[in-house]
Amino acid sequence: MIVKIKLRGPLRKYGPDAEIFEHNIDQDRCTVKELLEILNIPASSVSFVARGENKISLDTALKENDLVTVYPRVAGG
Amino acid sequence: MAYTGTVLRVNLTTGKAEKENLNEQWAKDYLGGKGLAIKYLYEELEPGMDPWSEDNKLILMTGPLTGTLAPNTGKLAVASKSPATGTILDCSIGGHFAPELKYAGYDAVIIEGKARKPVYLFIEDDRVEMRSAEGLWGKGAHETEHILSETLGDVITMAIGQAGENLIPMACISSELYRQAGRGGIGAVLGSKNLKAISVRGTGGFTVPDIRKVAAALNKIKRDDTMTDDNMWAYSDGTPVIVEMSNSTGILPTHNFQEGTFEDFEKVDSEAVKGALKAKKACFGCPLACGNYVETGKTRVEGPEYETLALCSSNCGIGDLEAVIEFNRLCDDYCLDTISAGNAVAFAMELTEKGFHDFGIRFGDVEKYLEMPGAIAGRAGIGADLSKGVAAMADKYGGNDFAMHVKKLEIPGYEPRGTWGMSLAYGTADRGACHMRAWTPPVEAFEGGEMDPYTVEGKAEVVKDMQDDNAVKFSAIFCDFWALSTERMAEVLTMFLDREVTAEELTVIGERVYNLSRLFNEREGFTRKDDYLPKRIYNDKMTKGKARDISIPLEDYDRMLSEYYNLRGWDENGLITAEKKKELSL
Amino acid sequence: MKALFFHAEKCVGCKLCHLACSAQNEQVFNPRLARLKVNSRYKRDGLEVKGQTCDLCMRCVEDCPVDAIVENNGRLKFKEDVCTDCGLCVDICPPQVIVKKERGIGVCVQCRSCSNWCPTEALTFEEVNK
Repeated sequence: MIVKIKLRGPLRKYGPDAEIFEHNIDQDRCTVKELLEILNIPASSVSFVARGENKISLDTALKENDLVTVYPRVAGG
Repeated sequence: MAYTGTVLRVNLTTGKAEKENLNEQWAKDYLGGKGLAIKYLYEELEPGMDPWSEDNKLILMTGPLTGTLAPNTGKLAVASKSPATGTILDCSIGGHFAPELKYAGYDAVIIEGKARKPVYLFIEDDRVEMRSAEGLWGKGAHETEHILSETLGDVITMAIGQAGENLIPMACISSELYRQAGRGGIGAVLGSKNLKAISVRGTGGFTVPDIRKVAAALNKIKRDDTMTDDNMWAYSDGTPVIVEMSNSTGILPTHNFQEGTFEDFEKVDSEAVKGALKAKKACFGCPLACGNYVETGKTRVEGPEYETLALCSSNCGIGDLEAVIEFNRLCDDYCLDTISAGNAVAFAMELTEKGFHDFGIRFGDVEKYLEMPGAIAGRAGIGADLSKGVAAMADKYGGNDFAMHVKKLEIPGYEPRGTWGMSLAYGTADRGACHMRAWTPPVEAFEGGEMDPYTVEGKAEVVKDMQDDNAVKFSAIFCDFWALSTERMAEVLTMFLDREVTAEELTVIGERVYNLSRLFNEREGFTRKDDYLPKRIYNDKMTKGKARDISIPLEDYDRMLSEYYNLRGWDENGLITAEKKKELSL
Repeated sequence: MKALFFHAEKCVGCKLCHLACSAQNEQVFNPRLARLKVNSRYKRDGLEVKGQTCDLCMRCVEDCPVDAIVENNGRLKFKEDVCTDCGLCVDICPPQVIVKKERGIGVCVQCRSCSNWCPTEALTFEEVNK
């Protein structure tokens, strides 16, 4: 299953130097949480993940060709 | 020593500048920054005093860590009684002014009275001069700063633009062109005193015991606790990173808070801002460097920050980054608070579209939009109405239910229907609707399932704790962008104060500071009735995005507010009980 | 021989380098006593970032009339007991990074406090003649 990924903020260091990259996941079913593990992104550094323009939960199962964006933790505002 | 022990008191009426000792007991009870400034104002301002009168005072307050190597401690508290709201008002300004003031030998400057003619204040160590500003009056803050740098050499300046001179209640103070003490008309207080600018050069220094050991310990903290994944968003992106996050969670104010998502968000998000980025810029002593200096072919600014993007882009329906950058630059130069200005423009747009009054400006009208900063600062055309803020506009033209303010201060860039704790944060913020007292999106809207954003359950406690945390953080003066624990704050403060500071003590100080600001407002007649949001938040449902079909039932808000008062030790009317005052030695 | 280099495009203007230098070498927090000059300021035509650092040009060593500044293994050393406070080195230093003090002067001794504190690697130690 191929998903497209965007990393934001300091989380960019966990991916290649590209705005969007594809990742081929070697399993049929993969949740957001599992994807973060595969990409070696510490869950504690992640604020949330969105599919398209909507926040999704960490337990959401991803689908072929999903575009997900991973957002960093922020403070202040 | 962490404090210089000296306060400079400047009376513009008499032309006298005198040094006095810092009140040590107050410094112990309130630390510095926000808390200590509010304490001075609470003790020195007569209740009911007219904030436009020369009896009002303006305080610049540093903190015990100002000018040291402690990371993220470069900010300055600027406090007064707000002419916009009548509440206590403390703002936080970055840049390099605070350390320069400390190196000049002062913990604080208290400005009183009113000069007969426009003046600026020049502080160079022991030398303090009030100089004629007649050649500066009428000029923007940017030109003013350039002229003062050319006249005085190596100085750091805070200045007002035309908005402050014209007593616009959303006038701010600028420093180093693009850093602001933004809210509540703090710039109009300077204008009302005929004080155009304050320039400072400090050539002294100070030391602490074992300074090399302290430096080594602080460098380790900087590396291990400041420059981490939790905080480096500030360097990698700065606040624009929040645009996408807010849009994805349905809390990006759009079209005067009618919606929480913006179809053109990608034109103004962090990636778009990066497209114009020329350099990263930091305040004094900050390794996170959140500032984005951007240039387009036509304009430049350090910014735009998230608040400007939310209120002046999506909220006005302007999906044109270059236009927003120019609007931002104009506001900084005239010295207008972009949160309030963006709200006033958006409100005029909705009033026009809904037929309440034809201001001749509609959502997305870039050309008219770019005329607004000048019109507001100069009270020209519709700017005369907009300059008074949304509460006054609604008094005149109607639309109270969607005049987005609390206590007459316009609402910042987080739509509360998609992050319910934020409604309470706005309702109970000391200076009117403010996102810097408690900022709940990270624990409810953003972070994975930690709290349901669409309930009031548990939010009272979250908001109270955040308010107390931030109150002590802004008193010690750490920047809010370093997400440091209270224990870490205590550890750093212990390096500089001649006593062991504990996290428990800091929590009490935070609570004391927050209660003192409430007590100030209570003395001015503010009660429960003033802690409510416009009816739109309770009655109207958004139609798009993550928070569609949701509003906050008024009875839920009421319940949350009562629970909050109860946790605070305030009565049902929001007044601080005698027991609580005693407990906090107020 | 390694000396201090400044990379303007990386500098954010936080002044931590100045403060680290003064804390280490003068045991005081005072950016004006730093043995380097880094400035990031907004001018009329935009942001100006400038840095001046000791590049071990040895002018001070060569010109000091009483040999109060000497070089030893690629590092400068100041001998306070010899210095006559004439101020010549301060005036002639090409990057203008020698600090005049009440008694004597301060030269960059390559302690690396500045580069250790710099959050963006805008200050690095590199071979002088590479």
